[in-house]
Amino acid sequence: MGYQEKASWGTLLITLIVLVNYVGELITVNITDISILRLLSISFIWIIAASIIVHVILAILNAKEAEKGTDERDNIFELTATRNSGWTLYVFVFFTFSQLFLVQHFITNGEISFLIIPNVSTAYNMANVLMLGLLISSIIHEVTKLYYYRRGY
Amino acid sequence: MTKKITNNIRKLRFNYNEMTQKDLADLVGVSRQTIVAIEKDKYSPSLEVAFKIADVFKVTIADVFIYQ
Repeated sequence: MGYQEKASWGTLLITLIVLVNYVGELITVNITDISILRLLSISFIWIIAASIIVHVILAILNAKEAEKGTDERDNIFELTATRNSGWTLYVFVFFTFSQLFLVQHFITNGEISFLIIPNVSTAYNMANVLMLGLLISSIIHEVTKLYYYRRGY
Repeated sequence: MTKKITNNIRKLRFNYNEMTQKDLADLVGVSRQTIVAIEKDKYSPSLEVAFKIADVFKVTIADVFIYQ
């Protein structure tokens, strides 16, 4: 297994841990503006810090390969993965913006959507959907790359 | 029947002083994993890499890759 593939596994593992923790807290904790802000901040810090640490460790363990960088095969996989994750993110961005109108509609009609967290302002509801979108698109990005590394292109 | 690209890289390496995949990768400028993928027909390289591989073995591109 090459350095790029190991890096993909590392990123996938970190993203999955953050996603499970994020969704777990959303389900179990009584979410308010303050708690969702805390949750969003912690998730962002975790994903950045953990990614840096894992990539540094992998680069130290595979110094020669890491120094070489990517080749054409890695670049093709990266492009395909970016296309797939990009589409996923577009869908979540669309939902985020549509929430602007949906929240107002549901509040007016006294209904609650499954996408909307009660007791949380529209801005944080939008941030929540965007965060979920970022995490899921990141997972799709890494899964696409790993699929091609394992199965061929 | 669908045609596919196969290659003789493994045989050429063996005939070329039993060159390792790592040596070939270094000469061509790709990772060893890419050479492994090409040999197993799991990845079709770019024309540039295909020419570089042929150049390493001092043969034509048709001697390395076969479309059948």
